[in-house]
Amino acid sequence: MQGQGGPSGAAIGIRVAILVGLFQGFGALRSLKQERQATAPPSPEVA
Amino acid sequence: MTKTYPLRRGAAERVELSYDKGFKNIVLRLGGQELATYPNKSALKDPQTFSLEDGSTLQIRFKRGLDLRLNGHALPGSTHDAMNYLRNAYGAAYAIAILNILLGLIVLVAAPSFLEGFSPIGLLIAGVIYGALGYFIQRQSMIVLAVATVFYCLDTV
Repeated sequence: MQGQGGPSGAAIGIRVAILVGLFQGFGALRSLKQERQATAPPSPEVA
Repeated sequence: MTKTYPLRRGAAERVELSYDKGFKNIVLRLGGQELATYPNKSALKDPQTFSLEDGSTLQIRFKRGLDLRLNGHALPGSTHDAMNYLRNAYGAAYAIAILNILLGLIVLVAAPSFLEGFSPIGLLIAGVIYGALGYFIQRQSMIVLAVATVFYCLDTV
C-alpha cells in the first residue's frame, strides 16, 4: 500500500506489529516441526 | 484458578496447574498426582525439572508467564506454545487482508479524498492474496510464510 505523505506513528506501529507477527511464525513452524519429529512413532525396520 | 494442559498434542495425560491471584500458592499436578508446590512465581525464577516415568522431562518456570515444557517443547495451550506464535503469524496475514479489503471497499464506494491515488481493485486483489497466504500459513506452510513476509516487506517499502 502506498500512501501520500509520510506514514504516521500509528501506521508504523501497525506495520512493525505485523512484521513481528509474521517473523514469529518462522520460529513457531520450526518448533512445531521439531515437536512432530520428537513425538513421531519410530518407523518400522525393513528386513 | 486451575488450568490443565495435555502433555502432548492429542494426549489424554494432562498437567494441572492451580494458583491463586498474582501467581501465589502454585500447585503442579500430573495425572491428578501432586508433583510440587511453590509459594509464588519468584520460586520459579529458575527452571524446575521433573523426570517422568517414560524418561521424558517436564520443566516449569516463570518467564513471561508460566512456562511449561516437555522435553524442551512448550505444552499445548501453555503461554509459550508454538501454536500461539503461529496464530500471530497467520493473524497478521489475515489482518492485512481485512485492512486491504476494507480500504478497497471504502475507495470503491465512497472514494474519499484522503485515499486518493489508491486503486480499489488493487487493494481488493491484495486483500484476497493475503487472505489466501494466511490460510496456508495456518496450514503450517513455511514457504508461504516466507512468501508473505517478502511480499509484505516489498508492499510496505
